Amino acid sequence: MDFRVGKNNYLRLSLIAFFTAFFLFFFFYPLAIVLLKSISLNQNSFSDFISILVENKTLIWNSFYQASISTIFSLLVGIPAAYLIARKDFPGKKIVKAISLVPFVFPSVLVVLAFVILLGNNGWVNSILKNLFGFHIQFLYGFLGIILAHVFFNFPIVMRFVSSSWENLDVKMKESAKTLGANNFDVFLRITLPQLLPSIIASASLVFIFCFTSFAIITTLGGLQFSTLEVEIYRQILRNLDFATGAFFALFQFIVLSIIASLYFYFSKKHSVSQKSNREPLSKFNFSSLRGIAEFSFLIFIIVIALLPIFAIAVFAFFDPSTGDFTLRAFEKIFSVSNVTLFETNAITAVLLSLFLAFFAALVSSFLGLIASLKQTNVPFVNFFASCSIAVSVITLAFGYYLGFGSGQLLIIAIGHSILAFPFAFRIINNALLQVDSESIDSAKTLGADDVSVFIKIQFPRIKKALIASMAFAFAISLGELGLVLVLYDGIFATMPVYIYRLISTYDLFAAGAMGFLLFAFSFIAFYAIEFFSNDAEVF
Amino acid sequence: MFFLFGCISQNSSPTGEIVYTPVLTIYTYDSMVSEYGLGPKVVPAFEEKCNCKVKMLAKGDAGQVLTTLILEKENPKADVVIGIDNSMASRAISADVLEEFTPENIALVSEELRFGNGYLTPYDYGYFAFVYDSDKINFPLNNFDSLLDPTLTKSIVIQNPKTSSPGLGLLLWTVNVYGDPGYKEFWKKLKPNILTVTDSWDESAGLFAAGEAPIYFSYATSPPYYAEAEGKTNILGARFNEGHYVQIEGMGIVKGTKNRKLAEQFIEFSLTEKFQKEIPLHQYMLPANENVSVPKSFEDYAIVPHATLQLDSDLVEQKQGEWISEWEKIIISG
Repeated sequence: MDFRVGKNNYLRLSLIAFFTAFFLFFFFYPLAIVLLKSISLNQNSFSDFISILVENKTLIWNSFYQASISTIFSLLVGIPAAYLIARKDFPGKKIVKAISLVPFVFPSVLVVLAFVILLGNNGWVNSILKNLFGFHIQFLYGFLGIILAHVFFNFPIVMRFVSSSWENLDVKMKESAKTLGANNFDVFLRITLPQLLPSIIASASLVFIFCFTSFAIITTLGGLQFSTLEVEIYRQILRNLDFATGAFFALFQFIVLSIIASLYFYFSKKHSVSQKSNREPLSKFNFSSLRGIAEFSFLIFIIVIALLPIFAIAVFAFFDPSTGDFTLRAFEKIFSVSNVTLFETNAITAVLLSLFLAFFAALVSSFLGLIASLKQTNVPFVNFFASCSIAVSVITLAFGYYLGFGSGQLLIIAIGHSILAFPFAFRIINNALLQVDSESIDSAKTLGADDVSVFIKIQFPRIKKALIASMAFAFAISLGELGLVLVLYDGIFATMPVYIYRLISTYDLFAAGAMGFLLFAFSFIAFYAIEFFSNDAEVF
Repeated sequence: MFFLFGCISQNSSPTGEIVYTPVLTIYTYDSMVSEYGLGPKVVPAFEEKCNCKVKMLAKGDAGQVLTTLILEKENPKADVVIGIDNSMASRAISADVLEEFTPENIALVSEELRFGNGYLTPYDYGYFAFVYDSDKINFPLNNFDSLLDPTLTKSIVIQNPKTSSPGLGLLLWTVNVYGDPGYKEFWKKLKPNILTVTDSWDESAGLFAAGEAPIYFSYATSPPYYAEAEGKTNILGARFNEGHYVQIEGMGIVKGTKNRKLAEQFIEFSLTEKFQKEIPLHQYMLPANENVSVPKSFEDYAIVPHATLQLDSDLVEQKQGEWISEWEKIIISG
């Protein structure tokens, strides 16, 4: 940045000041309060901290255990899926690739809703089992349900990371190994796998973070018997008013997540180094071989598990449970005036509120992402801001807002959503800006253009699409977000996910299905916009 | 802020001038305000009488209602709280969130039901009971031991005593029956038969209604609900030989209210027949007012216990924390 230009320094400095102040005030300040609370409220020595840890060893063990198992199974499904995408050519591949956006645009409450409908003791799968074989499997209310939901939700992340790495593997090494007599398995183990390893570790650590801080899935599918740190922080704060224990758990979790997050950032940098030359040509499914049939069946399996939850929700939203006829009764029920009774929010305000928050987050996080990405502003520590906000738990951040600003404040919830969406907005816009050729910027500058006109004339037209994609992404993230609103909504600002969460809790699955379908429809619009406006959504 | 909720609502009088109507804010649990709950029945009736507006707000289950009051202690937003029961009473009183008040018509309530040292007025009561689907359970459930039957593996849904009043009621009931530390043994044996523990009663009822479990912890007066509202006569209550723990629900005036007169008026109203007669079919509890009769479905399907059980409230206040954490140690494990 050329300080001598002088002209735009005010603008530049005020943008940096705005960005920094925003993060200091709405990110680091609330976190600092939580961490300080954990020390001031406990007023204990180090040995007391240890004894709290020992006392809650089951809880801590549960958190690690479920996150590890979920990660392992996400890898087991995700890596073969990555193989199909990287090595096979088939019609509709673009759609299968788009599944990788599911964890970000498909709200977690909808995963829960779909799982209850499909896998409950009285759900579809068990009804079939009972009728055919006379027994049922208890999927939910414990460990198994949590793992299944987490794998459904997270294998696409693995698929995405590993396939992009796999696509860029140098075919030459593989061929020379084969010439030297190595068999397929050896080649995979010694040549392919080591090259994929950074992407595997990067995706695994991201999945681990998501599972460790998973909220709706654990509370609804796990029950009290299987609880984790993230859920217990929520319970301690909102149910027991035990801020000391809540803050201590948050501190402990913060340390764990920081370690895993640094692992992620280290390996995701390695993973992004790719060589474009010597790509192996794609092959088609060979239906005459067992392997080809297995590959194809696996592809069908992935498509089915990705679509089944949406199908289940739609059925519950539109069909009468007893007769099986098409009906809009569930929608009438949630939107009817008689159902408004004495609640401060009803279904209509929930929809409006969700949309307001989502638009707010879309605009603010993309604006922040733009400031952070522009070379002209040169925001200090910008990568640090971006990394921190992906590694922090939503409940901890919400707890900080709760202590720092109080609950029941719509603007704080909106700002919180903007912070949560920021890392994604930043990545999308930053990637787009990096692709703007720097020579044209330089020559424009030599010709006397200032930073503002460089932005307006050269950069902006080239990143317009990325800006829209970024806004759509932030929109989807805010739309599906549950934990932050649940901590801060104070019974007043119930958004669509909160509404669905409460309906699921009381097992009003038809009303939940109706609201769920609406939420899905909005998310899908965002999803479509991301797909449409960014040919290769680089969001990680 | 984008939405404003004032404490005073404006109405235009026929002459065009603005008249300020006082607003009574009541905190209560979710089911009170639901479509079929008691709230929508009694609120309009009271509003007619008081020339005021009533804002009845659901704050989750009873535990969350008390939590909210404690959180807002410095700056109370509610005038009346409905739903503090005999198990929670000592906690509410020692948290100093209530004002003392005894309505003039308290004589309508029998002596045994009065609780809360002058801070709370009972409006209804009931007995806890396990409720089951008799199509699925084909042997008699007549004492706590019968719940340990190996055929009932993962069949019972109960509530978290930390967050739900029936959940706490069940824990106290087992302490009452088995003593301390005997209750711990019972819970260890019961654990394999528990399907899940929910944070609120509504969630348990939902699981039961969805057919996820054949038994859940509820009230002796729940079967009349299934008979009246859903036409199901196969949902029965288990009458235990040990006797049944009683829950008495009360309402009180929130400390620091600016509408004390109106709050008093509401509590007086809650004991009158107009309010009390709605209790059986909207709360599915027994009215506190002795003169109010219950419908026939109650005589047919509600359980009448052999004995009424209740622990001393001071003992509950003193030991409750320890009992709950011991219970958690048994239930929450891997």
